[in-house]
Amino acid sequence: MTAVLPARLRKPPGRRPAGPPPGPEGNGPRVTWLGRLASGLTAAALGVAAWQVLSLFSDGWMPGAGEVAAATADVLTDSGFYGDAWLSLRRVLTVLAASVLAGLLIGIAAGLSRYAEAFLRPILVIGLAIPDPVYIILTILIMGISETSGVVALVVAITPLVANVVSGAVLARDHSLDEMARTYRLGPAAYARHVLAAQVRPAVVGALRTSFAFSWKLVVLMETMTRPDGVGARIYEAFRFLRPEDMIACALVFTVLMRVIEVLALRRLDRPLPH
Amino acid sequence: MRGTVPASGPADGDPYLELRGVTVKHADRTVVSGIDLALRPGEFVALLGPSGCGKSSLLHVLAGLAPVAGGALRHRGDEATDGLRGRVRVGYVFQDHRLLPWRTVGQNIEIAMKAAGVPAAEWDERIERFLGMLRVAEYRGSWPMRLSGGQRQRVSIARALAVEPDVVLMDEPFSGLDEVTGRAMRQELTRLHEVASVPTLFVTHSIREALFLADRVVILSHGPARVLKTLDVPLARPRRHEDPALARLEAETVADVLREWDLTEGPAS
Ligand SMILES: Nc1ncnc2c1ncn2[C@@H]1O[C@H](COP(=O)(O)OP(=O)(O)OP(=O)(O)O)[C@@H](O)[C@H]1O
Ligand SMILES: [Mg+2]
Repeated sequence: MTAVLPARLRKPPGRRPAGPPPGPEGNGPRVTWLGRLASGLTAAALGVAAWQVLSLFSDGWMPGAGEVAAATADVLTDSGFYGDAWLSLRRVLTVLAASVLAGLLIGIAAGLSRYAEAFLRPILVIGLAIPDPVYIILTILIMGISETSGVVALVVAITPLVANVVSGAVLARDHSLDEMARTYRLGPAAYARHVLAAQVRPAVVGALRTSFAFSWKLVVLMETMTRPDGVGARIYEAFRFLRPEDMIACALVFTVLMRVIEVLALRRLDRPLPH
Repeated sequence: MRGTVPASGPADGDPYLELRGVTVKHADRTVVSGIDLALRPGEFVALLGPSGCGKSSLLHVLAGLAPVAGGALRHRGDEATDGLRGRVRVGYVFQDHRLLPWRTVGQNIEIAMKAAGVPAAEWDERIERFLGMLRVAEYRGSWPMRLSGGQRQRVSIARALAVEPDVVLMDEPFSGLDEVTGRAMRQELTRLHEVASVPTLFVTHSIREALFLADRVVILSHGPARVLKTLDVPLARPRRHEDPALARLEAETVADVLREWDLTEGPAS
């Protein structure tokens, strides 16, 4: 997957090219689809085996693979879980949308203007360095425990990440094309669409990917700390009642769900945007 | 051939573009020092100078992409020291093509025409006409990076001409072409200039090209560039590449230029 990605991102987008746009799909020897599946299954089987061994050595504190499987089946058939999963997913998407939007705006400003850069750089550096739970605790102190405060905390935590990547891409743009755009008097909209967008796109897709991964992990963390509902709250409850197999099952199912969404949604983004 | 007046005669009144003691710097280094030059309406002027003397830097400043470090620019008699870009439509053929790699050849030209306010109804015909004139019509739907260097440069010329420019700046547009294609392109450019009479500044280091195309040739010194000499080209139009008068003039100019360009310390000549 990682080997295919850069080639995909390099494709210039467009509606009506005469020939196919240059996009060499790897020409070295490739692992076949079946080979990949086999390696994946082997890894999974080894993981389960290791799990089983560890659980035997943990004096019964850690549930065995069989117990986890049973708990997973319970989770999958429990309609309450889907309600919580949907709630968490909604929070993830809200956090993602808000932080990517804010990060894009800040990143583009920092990339285009030297003054904005000088002003924003230290803020971004500090923002990136602060551990994420600190944001959650600080927003609780300021705004109290609420749905909004949790989301705000995570948006504040993830935005610097996006802004950093985007501003890097904007700064590294081809300045000779900027001169061309100025000479031919492209307006701000035309400049953004025709000159900047294609140069920033790979960074934005990358930032989206990272932010998504971060936001669902942080949403679960935030929920365990502050919320009575959502997957995180469920995990915390299972922990409180000493039901580790439920905890693991919840996490497992939610993780798989998020991975599926990530792969499905972000694969779509790898395709050229219509313009 | 002597005494024949160039097709577009010098007009009275203010020149289209006037440079007075224009100096250009990169950081602290002077790369163009005190150029005086006038481009009259409808005139085709060639800037001839050795590599690295500051020709591209000068065009950048004229376009308004870099600041003037000293001296003044005037456009039709008005102060215009911040360059032409904000005042008129500039068709600029950069020394490198500067096409958007993620837009097709046709889209690249369209984007420039749209920004220049050319009515959408004319886009199609203009793209066809200029790409055709530059012999790259079949690449309209291609990605620029799929073209050869010379083809890209010709697309860039088509873009500069398609925006209905008020003034054209060209930076060695034909330097990447073979002799035969280059001749055809020069012929087309001359023909177009006779029809449209857009004032044109054409940078080159080919003496023959300068003499073939221009009404006037401004010969620059080694960097930092100064004007060594201005030559009114005494050749009637239409000109032919095979014209012995052109060859003779070229030989004379080469002799002149060799004397000047050989010296790194420029004496007053
Ligand atoms: N961006 C820049 N920063 C600093 N110095 C520069 C820059 N661009 C050009 N120069 C310097 O300015 C001088 C003039 O460069 P310029 O590109 O204007 O020359 P030129 O006459 O166009 O040469 P050529 O015929 O080879 O294109 C050169 O000595 C070059 O090193
Ligand atoms: Mg140059």
